[in-house]
Amino acid sequence: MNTYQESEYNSRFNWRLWWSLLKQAMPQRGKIIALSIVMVFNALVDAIIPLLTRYGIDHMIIPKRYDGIVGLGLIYLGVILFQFVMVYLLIDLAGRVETGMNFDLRRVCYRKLQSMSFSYYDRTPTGWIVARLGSDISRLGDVVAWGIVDLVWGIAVLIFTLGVVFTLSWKLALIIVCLLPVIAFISIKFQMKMLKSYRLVRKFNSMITSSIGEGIHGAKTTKTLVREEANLTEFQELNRNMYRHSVKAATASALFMPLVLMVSSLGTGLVVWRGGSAVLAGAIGFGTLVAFINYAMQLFEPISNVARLFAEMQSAQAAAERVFSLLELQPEIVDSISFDEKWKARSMHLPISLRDVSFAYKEGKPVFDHFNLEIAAGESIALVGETGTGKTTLVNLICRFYEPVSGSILIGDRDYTQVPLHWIHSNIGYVQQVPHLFQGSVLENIRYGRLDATDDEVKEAARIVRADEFIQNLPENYDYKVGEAGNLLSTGQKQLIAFARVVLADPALLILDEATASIDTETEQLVQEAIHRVLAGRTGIIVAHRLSTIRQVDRILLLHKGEIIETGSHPELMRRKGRYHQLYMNQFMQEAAETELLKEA
Amino acid sequence: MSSFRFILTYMKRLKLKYLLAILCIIIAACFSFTTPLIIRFTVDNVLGKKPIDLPLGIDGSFLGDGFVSFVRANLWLAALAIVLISVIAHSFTFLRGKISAQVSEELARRLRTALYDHIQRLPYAWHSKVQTGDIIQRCTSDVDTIRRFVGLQLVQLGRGIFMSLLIIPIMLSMNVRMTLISTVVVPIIFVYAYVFFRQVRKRFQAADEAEGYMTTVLEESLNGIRVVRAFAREDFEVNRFESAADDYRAKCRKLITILAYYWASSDALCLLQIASVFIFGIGWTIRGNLSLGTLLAFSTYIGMLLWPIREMGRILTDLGRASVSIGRLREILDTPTEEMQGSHCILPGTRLKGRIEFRKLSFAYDPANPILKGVDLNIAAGETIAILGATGSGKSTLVNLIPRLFDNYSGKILIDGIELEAYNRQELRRQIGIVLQEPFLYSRSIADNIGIAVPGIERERIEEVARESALYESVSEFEQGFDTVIGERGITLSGGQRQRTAISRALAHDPAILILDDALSAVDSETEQEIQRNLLRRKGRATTIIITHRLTGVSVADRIVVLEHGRIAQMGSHSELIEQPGVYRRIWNIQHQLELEAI
Repeated sequence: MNTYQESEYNSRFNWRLWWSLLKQAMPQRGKIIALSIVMVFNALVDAIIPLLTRYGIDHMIIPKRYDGIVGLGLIYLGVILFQFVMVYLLIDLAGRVETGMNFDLRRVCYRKLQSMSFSYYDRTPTGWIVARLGSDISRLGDVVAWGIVDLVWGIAVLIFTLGVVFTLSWKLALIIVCLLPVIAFISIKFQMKMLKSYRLVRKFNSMITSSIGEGIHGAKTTKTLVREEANLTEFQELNRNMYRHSVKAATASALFMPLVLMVSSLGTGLVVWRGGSAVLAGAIGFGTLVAFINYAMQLFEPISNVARLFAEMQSAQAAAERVFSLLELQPEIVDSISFDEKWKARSMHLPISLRDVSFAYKEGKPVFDHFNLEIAAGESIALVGETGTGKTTLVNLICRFYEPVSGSILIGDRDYTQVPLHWIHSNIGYVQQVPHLFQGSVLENIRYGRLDATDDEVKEAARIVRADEFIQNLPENYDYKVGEAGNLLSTGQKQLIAFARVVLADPALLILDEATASIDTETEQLVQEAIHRVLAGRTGIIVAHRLSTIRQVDRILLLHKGEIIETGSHPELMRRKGRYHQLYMNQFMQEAAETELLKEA
Repeated sequence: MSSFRFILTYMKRLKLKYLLAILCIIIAACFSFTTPLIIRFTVDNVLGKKPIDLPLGIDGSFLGDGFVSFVRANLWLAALAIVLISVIAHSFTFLRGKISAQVSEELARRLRTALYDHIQRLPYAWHSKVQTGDIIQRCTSDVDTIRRFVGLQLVQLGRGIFMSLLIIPIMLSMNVRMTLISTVVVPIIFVYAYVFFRQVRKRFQAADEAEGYMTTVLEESLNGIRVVRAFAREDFEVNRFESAADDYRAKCRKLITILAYYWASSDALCLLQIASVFIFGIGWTIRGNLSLGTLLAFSTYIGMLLWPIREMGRILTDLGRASVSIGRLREILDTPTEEMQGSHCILPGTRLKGRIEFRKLSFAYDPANPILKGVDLNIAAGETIAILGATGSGKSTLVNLIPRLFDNYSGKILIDGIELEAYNRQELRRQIGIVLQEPFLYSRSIADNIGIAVPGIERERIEEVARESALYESVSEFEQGFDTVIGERGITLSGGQRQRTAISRALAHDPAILILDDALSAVDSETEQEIQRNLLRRKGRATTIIITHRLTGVSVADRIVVLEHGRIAQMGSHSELIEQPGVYRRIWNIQHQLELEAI
């Protein structure tokens, strides 16, 4: 869990990272250049308007001359029209850059995710990935697009303003130059502080969110354990912290603008004082004084914009790091062969052999060590054994959800790393212990097995696995919406639908991993019959706890700590009177014992 | 209006503070209007040598010519005044910000606490119906909307109103014609902002929905990654996600284009207002109707007025959102909570005997679809009962009624001879341990989870119950043993381990009634047997109800009840039931006979 908590504040500016981000923005470069040009023009207008004022005062009001007022008005109108176009272009272009970048990043990340193997998903919580593709990417698009706006505009306004003020009066210009570092210092300092505190607020906010989530998910448990007061006390503690940090953050941000404005009023004051004296001395006109007052008042804006941008880049850096960590992932399973028409036509009705296969999820804890197994085409085998002996791992290896650390797995006579992954997966039907359904109707969920199946084919598949009966009893039958992750159905019902889905897919290799554990006995028996019917003509691998459900398979493998300790058909194994016999008798005896017990009672 | 009253009930002892914030707004506004007047005074009277005329009809003669020439000689005084006034005005702005943040954050805190508390006390029927995401959103986003409304938007509205109320008289007193010119576009800008943001709200919503849909698609495909892979549906999922992401992009783009038009035109309107003040001002100044200082004051005031008023237009469209949010919170808070009290008290430290009687018990979640149809069943204190039945036969519903998770049943349920409704819910629940098929574990350590209902439980006791539920060994294999914290959605524990943790938790508080609702479905058969042996050993300690699909589950039971379509189809000991034709014998034959054959 710890590795997935929001990374701590990283104060070093990572140039390389931003450079790679800019490279990701390459498809948008035309728009970015256009946007920069627009921003320069925008800055030009902002720097010019006080000059218009100055002209009006010095050349019309003071000499009391009317002529030129129409011209000035027209110039003003021209500026307004120009600004209208520029503002429109600025927002539209920035929006294009932002949404375009977001979309590209999402697409690249999602494709990368599809290439990652299961070991990645075992380590990485879904919520973490969703946050990367959601808010983190939005953040990056936002920072890049609007960052360019702020940066180009801010720098251009500063340059234009400094150019203008130095041309007008270098003495007064010095006042403005002196204020620059003060405003810059306050801006950077406060923006950083605000960012840090809002980061804390967000952290508490997400804690509160998950606490509320737990409160609802766990409502039944909370009620039956009478935990209401204890939960509330814990929540209030969290809530108090949230309050404290929110107020702290809000106070810092409430202080920022007033402080900057106080400093810039210092500029105004100094300009009025020194500029006023200059006017009295006749060194400058009223217009110049007024222009200076305007410049002094506007000065804080470009600086605080740029400061905010840098602060935001600091915070977005964490988002960028996380997104790039996702982009730079190396898939552990690489599909080297492309899935073409030739492969599409090829059947996987082939023997599967595991040769000297070793595998470990974690180094030093091997699940399999030089494991060997041959499965004939069309053979059905059952894997039995205690929890944690590697039954599901074996299945995952055969499906190439994981690849062996050493040794090889052959499909036919080919190492399966030399065939397209897609081909393997399109020939496998895999029903999990806890099946996953998608939000949507029953029909859609079954059809997931074969996307071009007709409604009738879907219903036929449901009939084969005996799911039809309960589906007919649902409020809208096949159109019943199964809810988030299928939660409106019971586990047993989900298993039936997952089974129907697989039957529809008509795979060469069928894998049932505890697939009928939650179905009630009577239905299970029907499903068992269906399983054996469906298995005809396919290779089948069944993982089961209940030994009575697998007697009809061709071969049973009894696994213990990553090794096959017994193998054979049910009658063979029973005759051998080994561990399987013991296990079977144990299960059987228990029921016999239960009969005895009940007779005593 | 009722929304307003709702907010007020959560503002106890905050109202005065809020008024203080409003006072700060007024003071700050008053002071910030003074700066342009000082500049006007400096330009007109000090630098321009005109006679003093103060706005609002204040007689300026008391200042006298001596004062003006003193300032002229010491111009730094004007500078000092500008800085001082700015310091005062902005200090009050800061205070306003701080106080309103305190008030609104406290309000948010109160709302969150109230919601959390209320949600916990709502009947379980409510929890089983709602969408978790929706409720979380109400507790976070909607609370935040209200917080921003009180802490920012209302304050900005107030500021806009006070600004206009103060600026316009000052401007009028300086020059009426100029005031008219200065304010002619302002109302248009206000109305434009208001109308625009009202119109565009739907597009914001559309973009939000597109984003939500994209997230759902993403979440689903990640959660179902095994299914996606197993069916080789990567391309299908990539297309699905990309079309969702593309739709989101398109909606955003559309929104941004409209916003671009708006901001461009609104900016142009503002500039038009500034330009007209400037051009007309120049004309009148040349004619002598206006002084240069007054013109400057007007152009500063216009800047002060324009932006807040444009913001007001936008905020007004947001008011609707706040009242919608309030409505959504009230929907939760107005739902009646469970009635906790009961006439019958279970004294602390006493233990129920655990005799349970169901009499003609019927129940339906929805009247059209009855689940239980007249169940009659007596369970003796200390007896162990197994309930068998197909999915949907009403097994879980029956046991959920015992801890009063649902009301509105007809018929009677008696525990120790006393009507269920007479018990205090919480006191009753403390006597019951219930384990679910898909148990919920809190995201804390395993030890905490086991001991969660027993304050001050000792470690030995935790380990003891863990042994009883065959959990001890698996947990000991974890690096941190019982201190292992259960991660996101309990990802570090397998289904069987979760079930066994939940069993330990139920055993830890030694309940008088123990209910296992298909609680061993994910446990392998050897472990299942071990747990059953342990359950057998503590038989009689608690009235035990075991719901199961498997006959192995009934081995510890004194009596077996077979439910079928909400009715008791069969009841009796194993040997009795095996003699009767019926569901039980059928199940027995399926599970038992087949195994006999196989040997």
